Amino acid sequence: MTAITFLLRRLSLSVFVFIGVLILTFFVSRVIPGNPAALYAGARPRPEQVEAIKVKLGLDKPLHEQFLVYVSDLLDGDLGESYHSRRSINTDLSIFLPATLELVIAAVFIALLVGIPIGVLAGAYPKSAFDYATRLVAIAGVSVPSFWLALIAQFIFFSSLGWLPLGGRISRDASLFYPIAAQTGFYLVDAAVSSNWDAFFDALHHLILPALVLSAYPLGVAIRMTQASMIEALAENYITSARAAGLSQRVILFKLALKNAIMPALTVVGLSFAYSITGAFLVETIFSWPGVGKYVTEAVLNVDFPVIIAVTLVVTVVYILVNLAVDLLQALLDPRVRLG
Amino acid sequence: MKRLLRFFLVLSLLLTPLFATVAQERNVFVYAHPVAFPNLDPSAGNSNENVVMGNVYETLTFYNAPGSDEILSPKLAESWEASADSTTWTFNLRDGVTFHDGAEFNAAAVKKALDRTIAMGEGSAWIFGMIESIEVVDDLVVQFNLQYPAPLDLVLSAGYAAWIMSPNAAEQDSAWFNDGNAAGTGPYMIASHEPSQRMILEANPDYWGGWDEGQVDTIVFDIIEDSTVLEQEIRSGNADFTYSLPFDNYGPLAEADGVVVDVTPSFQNLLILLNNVKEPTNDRLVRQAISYAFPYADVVASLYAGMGTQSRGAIPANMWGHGDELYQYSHDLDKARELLAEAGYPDGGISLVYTHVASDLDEQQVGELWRASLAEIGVELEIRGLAWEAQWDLAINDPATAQDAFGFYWWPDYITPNSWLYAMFRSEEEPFFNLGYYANPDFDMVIDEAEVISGTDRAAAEAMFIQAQAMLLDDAAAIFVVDLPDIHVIRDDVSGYVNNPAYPHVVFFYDLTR
Repeated sequence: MTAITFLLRRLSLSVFVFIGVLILTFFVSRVIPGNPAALYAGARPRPEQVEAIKVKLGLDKPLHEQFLVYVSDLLDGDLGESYHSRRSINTDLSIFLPATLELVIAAVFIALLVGIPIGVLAGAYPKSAFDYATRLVAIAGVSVPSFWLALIAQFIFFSSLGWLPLGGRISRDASLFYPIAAQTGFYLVDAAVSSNWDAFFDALHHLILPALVLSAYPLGVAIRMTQASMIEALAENYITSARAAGLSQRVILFKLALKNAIMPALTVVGLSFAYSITGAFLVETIFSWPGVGKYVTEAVLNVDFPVIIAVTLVVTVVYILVNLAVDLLQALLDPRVRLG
Repeated sequence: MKRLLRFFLVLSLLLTPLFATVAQERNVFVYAHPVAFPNLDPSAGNSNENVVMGNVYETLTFYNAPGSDEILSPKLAESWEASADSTTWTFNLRDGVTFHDGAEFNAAAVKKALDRTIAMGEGSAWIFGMIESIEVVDDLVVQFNLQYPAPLDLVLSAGYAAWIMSPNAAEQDSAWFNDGNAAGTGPYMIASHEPSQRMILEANPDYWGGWDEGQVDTIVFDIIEDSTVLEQEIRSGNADFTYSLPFDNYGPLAEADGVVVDVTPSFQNLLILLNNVKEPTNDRLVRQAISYAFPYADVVASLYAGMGTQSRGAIPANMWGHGDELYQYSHDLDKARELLAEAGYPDGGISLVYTHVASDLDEQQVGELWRASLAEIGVELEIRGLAWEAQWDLAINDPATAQDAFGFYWWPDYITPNSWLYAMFRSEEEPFFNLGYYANPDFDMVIDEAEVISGTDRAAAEAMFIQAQAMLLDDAAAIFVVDLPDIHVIRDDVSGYVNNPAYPHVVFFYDLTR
């Protein structure tokens, strides 16, 4: 099967997943108690206001009609309007989604950059003190709740050492004196593109702590997976021959063994990318990081259904795409993997 | 090794606080704001965005902070007059005012802005329910024709819905405003908006009021939801103003260097509407008895770290319509027993249901203190915490099966005693906010008459509103519990700050100097 037909088949299957999620979230949001029209009207609305808003929002129509309207808007690429902020959800997501993606990408990047070398070394020297230490780190990374880790990290790096900011995405001075011209919504990219280095380092400075906290889980996964598959790879015959040929340990570990060992690690870390997006919800709230997580948390507290549905759909799409990308990447890296 | 060195060099560079404050030429004021701004559309917003509205837009009239000689002062209108029957109002507008987008401020702009607000009908727009039409009489003269008499000068000073936006902006939808666009006449303009994170306002150099040295010219709103962080920001001097800290923290904070904790009465109060229809509270004697069995001093001491004050009548102290001489119930169990006996319950033996919003711990606390006191006169109180919708639903369905006591907060949409008296106590066929189902034709007559003259003879209207409250107290229609405090924290090197409870938590930055 070629990559194209594989892609098409997977995408067409994904459509059903998407439709399932859409139906579920839409109808659940409509049947649970609450009065969206009253919410839309704001504090202490008059009864006639609530009625007028019901009509305006189409909430007086039967459920299936409301659903059809929603779907046809969705097909036009319109995710609707927040009941609480009255902002277009498309606009909001164009601000909040890049913030979350920036954070998650940074976290996964840290996980791979740090986790794979550590995993390789731990796999090369099993049962050493280093191995036990990394096991501890990996297990802690996976099992310690991120909100706890976040608070501890804030305590150490903000309160005690004063090295890193407590939260937010950019400092007040940056907003005032060297504001970033928004293009992609990824602050690091936007700042770099416009050579606004003050703002670039400011944004980086704010990114470090939440990204580190968020990387704990994929880091633990990367270490453990790399280590396990390294042990397997190092037991292979070609490694023994390489050793016999007198190749250096560095070449053996990082050039030969790693090439085979990295596959499972990449797969799992790729999947944990999608996991991290939902994990970011907690981390964002604690670090006041204005991303999708904080956005949807506010929406849940305000019973802002259009936002909750929209974010659920967007996260679904990201999940689907990341899964697909991981599968393709596997095929790309390992010719033995057949798409199908 | 070299590589490793380079790595640590870069790392240490990143970790050092590189960003020492840039030399500030601007006079920046930082408002650490505990919530995001929900709706920046001046026609529709009726929540915490009022602090942005109040500095970017202006109203025709302005409600002065308590302690001023006059209730209102001119803002975009220089003078106004009402017809003898208060149904036609003429406003003479300020000359030489321009909107931020360059459009000219005139009668046509006022008409267009308010017509938009009325047509949208969202938020607090219903306060304009009396307006039949708005006429442009002259370039700078606008006339309002009302369907019934009303104090329109007060209505137009409202902190919600009464803002005048430019004719160009009036053609935009809510989304345009919520993207951070604005065009008012106020002293500040929105310079940037990062939703849920930060907003920056900059001085409008062409402001009609002009600028003096020392006035703050750049405002930063940092949205910080965590009260611990809020407190840290104001203590460290990173922020200049904040509110919404835990009440018990204000005491120690007031001792800290460089900060002032400003406590003044707000225009919001907590009251308990008593069921005037259902037995046994339909008996005035029973209502009076349970009013005397309410532990006012204990409640005031335990809420808001003791910074509130016991209400006297429905209208908060410091607001027009408040009666200093009105009767104030006190905690008197002997009197309560006496009244109960007179009502035919010598040993008590009645049980009542008090509803409140479940998430509101203050309302719950009130219920618990009251229950303990009622128990002493043989009255049992069931405290029922409900979601607001459920509490309200129970109340509006059938008074005969509804709660006996309804815990409720009230604040005015525009500053008139009638906001309380009309909404919560005027006879209603279908209960909406009169959730004690009080119905007294004499009371209705007094407040209706007072409303008619409140535009033309405010002193006489005030006397009548006070008379109406005396009726409520005599009937024990509700328990008026506590006037809430407004508590704000400001750095002590800023001068010119005065809290104005008519515009809750709004700082008029133009008045500040440093």
